[in-house]
Parts: sequence; structure tokens; C-alpha cells
Amino acid sequence: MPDERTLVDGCRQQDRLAQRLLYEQFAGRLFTVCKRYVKDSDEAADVLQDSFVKIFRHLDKFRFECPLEAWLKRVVINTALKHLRKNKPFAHMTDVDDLAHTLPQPDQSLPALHYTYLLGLVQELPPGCRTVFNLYAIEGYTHSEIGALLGISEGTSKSQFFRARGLLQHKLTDDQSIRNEPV
Amino acid sequence: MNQSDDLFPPPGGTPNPHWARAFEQAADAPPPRVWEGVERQLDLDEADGILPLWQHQQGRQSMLFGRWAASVAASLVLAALGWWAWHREDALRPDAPTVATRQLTRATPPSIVPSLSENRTSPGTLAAQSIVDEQIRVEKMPLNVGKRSPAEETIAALNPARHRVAVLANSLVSNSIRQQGPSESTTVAQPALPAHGSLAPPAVPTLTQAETAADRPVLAVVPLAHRPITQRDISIDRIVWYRAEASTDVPGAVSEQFTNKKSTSRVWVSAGIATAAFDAGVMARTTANSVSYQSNALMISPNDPAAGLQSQVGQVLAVQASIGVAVGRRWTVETGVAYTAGRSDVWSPMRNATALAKSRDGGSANNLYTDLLQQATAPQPTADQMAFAPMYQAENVAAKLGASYTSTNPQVVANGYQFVQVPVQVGYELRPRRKLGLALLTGVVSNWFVRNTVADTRILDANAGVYRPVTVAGSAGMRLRYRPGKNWSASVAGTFQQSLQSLTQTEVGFRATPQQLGLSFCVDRHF
Repeated sequence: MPDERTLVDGCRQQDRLAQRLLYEQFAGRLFTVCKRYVKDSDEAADVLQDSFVKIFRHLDKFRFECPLEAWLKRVVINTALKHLRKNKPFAHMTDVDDLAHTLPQPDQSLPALHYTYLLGLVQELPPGCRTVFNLYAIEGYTHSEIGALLGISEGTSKSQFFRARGLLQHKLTDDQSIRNEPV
Repeated sequence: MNQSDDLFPPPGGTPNPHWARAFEQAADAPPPRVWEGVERQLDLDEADGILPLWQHQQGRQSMLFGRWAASVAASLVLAALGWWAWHREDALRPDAPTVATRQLTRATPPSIVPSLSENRTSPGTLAAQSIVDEQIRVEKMPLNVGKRSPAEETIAALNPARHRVAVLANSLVSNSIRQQGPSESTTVAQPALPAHGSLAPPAVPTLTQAETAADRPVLAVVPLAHRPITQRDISIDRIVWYRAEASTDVPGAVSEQFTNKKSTSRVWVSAGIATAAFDAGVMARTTANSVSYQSNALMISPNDPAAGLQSQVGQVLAVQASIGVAVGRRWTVETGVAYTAGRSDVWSPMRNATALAKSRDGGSANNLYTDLLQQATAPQPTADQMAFAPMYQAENVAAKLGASYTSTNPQVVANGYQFVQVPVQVGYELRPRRKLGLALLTGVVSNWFVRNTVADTRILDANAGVYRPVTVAGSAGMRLRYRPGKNWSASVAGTFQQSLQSLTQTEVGFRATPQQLGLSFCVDRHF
């Protein structure tokens, strides 16, 4: 497998084999990113397709100032957000500060859970708070950055995140209690 | 898309370590349609609108160079086919003498000797029964007696049962030959081989007069029951292509997978118009000229092309509708229908003054071309006259009209042709799925003759006996297609058509092999 720079150079020259190799190398992980932002795999496949088209068209803007995968991931996230904006899920988001007092602590056992289970939990979230949760908890954006990205206030981003965490914690607790019940 | 959209700002915060770690190496294989869609979009990318005609980087082959080489090769093949067709105009006639050849082929012994069942259907004579017994005896022998030829090996591999029948039949023949020794009183003739594909029983072997009485008890054996069997040629009935499953784990398999990528069927319909230069290619047949030269009835010299009929390039206009389907990444098959109306004038030698004086047809029929047309539409000659058709043809023109012609001042006769054309073409996309596509086209066009209006007065349709109802033409061309969106495109195509047959019947004193060279403009709807 050629290194990233060779792949990028090949893709910039519209070499279809290099494009295919780049796709093969990163499509799996980026597909999971897509699935975190949209509700099902079909929609995620559409987002991934649009993302790779953008990647190949604008790969010349990549300056190797950061890891290639991080850059690709950002393009995918941006494409997913654009896709979500078509359905305007962020327009109806409101502050839910009243839920702040119910926030649980982060579950320390998360790495032990398989990501498909966690992915299912994330996909069950409402679109707005799912997006905020992904951007804040998994991607590492601040609430002010998320507010700028989604066109919402910082407070709204926080409240949506808290709501997402509450829903996730509630779901995790329920599943844990079901597993601990005696047969 | 501006740069800020792509250069999504990097996160300024810190992700939750537990959640981030849980999804860090998560990967799911996307469905295959994702890559297909990416590839399709890239092909349609307007940023890729420059033809890479040369190598622009060391070690990287131009994508188009190979296609140009392929197109040049295809053009050469097409030119060779056209040359061949041009020089075999007479051989392509529907009434060409191919019957003798066909009969000769049928008389050729097939590669398969008749099967056993055919022998069973023959009357149960001593010889026949002996042969059957011998066949049964030979059948029990191992099949590897003697050395197999390579062809036999192939047959045996393809169909062992059929090969066994062939071996039995061969042994039958060789056995009959062995029985013809001088010391034996019984001779068995070799069974006649049936005609190719025929179910007729072979000739029954006969006995000589010296048949011994000891052989007679064999006659009591009850003949085998008749069982119909279909004899077929030994040939490859079906080719099954296998493709090994390419593993995506092997890096080299990716390119192979890419090459063998499944193609999606794409269908489009087109409507448009075409305009072209049209030459009917009218020429006097050699037989008419030579005979008329011998008879001295006509003043046309056969060695002077200018003295004969000569058509001029006119214009043709067509309205066409077509449908196409992509049968692969680059190949397309297209067909349609077009209504074509074209004009091509004919310069024809005039009758001389004396003949004009004798002519009672008026001004509309005072040249060789119109006279030949009139001759062709006249009642057919008798069988005796047909035996001397060329001579009859030319002499009848001269005798009936009493005409002689001169080419010093040729007369122009207008011809308005109308056809319905049904093309069947194969296309090779040089730039598949691009916004600006380029394709090579080649195929055949069946021209359904509608009518020809001669001198704006006389209408000759397909039943007039002059023109063939259907003729075939070869076509080749190149199409440039601009496809701004998924569903619609506009295309312009330059095409050349050359008729592979004479438009006229063989009895007519001139022939016409139309040519077209022009452009068509179409709007396409893709599905």
C-alpha cells in the first residue's frame, strides 16, 4: 500500500487507481462517522459518496499540515452537517437548561462496549442533540464552535448536549439493569 | 464550493476520551454502490474537461492515448470492410448464386458418424444385425484403443458419451473394411453417411451372393427397438465464463476489481435532425455500356466515365428518433428510426437530335437516365429474352427508342429520394460518463426505400421495379455529447454512410450506391 503522500499525489492527478486505493483505505472508518450523524446506513452511504466526491475534487487544498484522516474526517462531517441542514433539524432546537441538574457522570465502562452498540444508541438520539453530541463529545468541538457551525447559540448547543447525555445515560442504565436481572 | 466549506475548522476543544476511544478505530464496509457513485460523479466532473492527449507525468500513461490507438485501429478495420464491400457490390446481391455453395456444404460428410439408433431403424438384415453386434462388442472394449487425435481429445473432454458413440461408429467403419478381405465371403459396404443434420437413415449394408448359411441364424435376432434420437453437431454449445472472486485484501486485486467493475445499464432516448451531403452514386452498369458499344447503337464510349451517368452531390435532411443502451462502461448499442429526404441530381447524356426528332415522349424523357428508368419500368421480358438479358437490355433501349446519345451537353435530371432508415450501431465511448463525452460509432443502416421523384414529375416507389425495397449501408462516425445534468444531454454527431448494395435492381441499366456525409443534432433524455 503506497504512503499517504503518494496516494494524495495520485488522486490530485485524477489517477483512478490511486483514488480507489484512498477510498479503500479510509472508507470504512469514514462510513462509521457518517452513520453517527444520520439515522440509517442508506443515508450514511449517500453522505459518504458526496464526501468522497468532494475529497477528490478538492484534495489539492490539503497541505499535509494535519493527518490526512483528520482532514478527510472533517470533510465528511461537514458534508453530513450540510445533509442534515436540508432537513433543518437545528431550527427547532431550544434550550433545555432545566435538564442540566439531571446530568449523570460519564460512564467509565464505555470502551468495553462494542462500538456498534454505542452507535445504535447515538443513532436513536433526536437529530439535533445527536449532532451536538457527536461534535462535542466525539469530535472535540467547543460549544461556541458548534454554535457557529450549526447556526445556533452556544447555550442551545450546551443544552442539546446535556439532553443527549441524559438520554444516553438513561438508555445505558436501562440496558445495564436488564442485563443484571436474574434469569 | 468555497474553501471554508472544505477546510472545516479543526476542533478547539477536547473530546470525551471514552466516547472518542470507542469510535476511534470503528470501521464498517460501505456498500459497493458508494464507490460506483463516486466514480460516476467524478466522470461527470466538469473540472475534468480537458482531454489528456499526452503523458503529463513520468510513468503515468495517458488515459486517452490507448483509446485513440483503439479508435485508429477501429477506423482501419472499418475502412477495410468498406473497401471490401465496395468491391463486392454484386456479391452482396440477394440473388447472388449461393445455392451451389450451400449444396456443396450439405454434401460434405459431417464430422460425426451416424449414431447407433439410426442403424437400429434400418431393416433387420443379417449385415445390419452383424454390425450392431459388432458395435456392442466394440462398446465393451476399452476406449483407449489406438491413439486419439487432439480433436478427439477435445471431443472426449467436452462430451464423453458423444465421443464414445463416435468411437463406436469409427470402429464400425473400420470393421466393415476388415471384412472385405479376400478370404472372407461376406463383404459389407460402408454405411453411407447421412446429410448434415439429417435424420434420414443411412444406407443399409448389403451382402454379397456368397453369404453362407452359417450366418443365417443370426437373422433370428430381434432387432433393437426404435428409439428416436436427435443427431447434433459436435460443437461448443455454450461458453461459461468464470471469474475468480477478487480479494480486497490483496492490493493488486483492487485494480482488477476496478477493471471488472459491474456496469450499470443506462438507457437513453434521442430525438433530432440530421443534415448531410448526399450523393446517390448513380453509374451506368458496365454491361449496358459494353453491349451498346458493340452494337454501335449508342454513341457512348465505355472507356469514358464522363460519357455515362453521373450523379451530383445534393443535400439530405432527416428527422430521427433513437434509443440506446450502455452494455458496459464504454460500449453502447443504439437503434432508431429516421425519415430521410434527399436530393441528388443526375447528369445524363442527351439523346442526339435525330433521336429527339423520333422521340414521342416529349421533353421529359430525352436522356439516357430517363430512358433507362422507362426501360426498367416496362413489362418484363420473356424467359428467352432473359437468357440474353444484358444484350436485350441495351438493345431494347436503343431499338425501342431508336436513340443514340451524346455526352457533349449532358442533361440534369433531378431526383428526390425518400427513405426510412433503421440504424443499428455500436458505440465506443472514449470519455465515458463525462460531461463532455466523445464516442465512436459504427454499424449498419437498413434503408427502406419509399420513393424517388424523378424530374419532379415521375414518382417511382418500391413497387416500380427499379429500386430495391431494402438496402443495407454501413455507417461510421463520431459523436460529441454535452451532458450538463443527469437526465438531459445534447449531442452532435458526424456520420458517414456508404451503401453496401446497389439501390437499384440488377436488371436496371444503372446502379446507385448512395453516400452520405453529414451532421446530426440530437437532444437526449437519459434514464
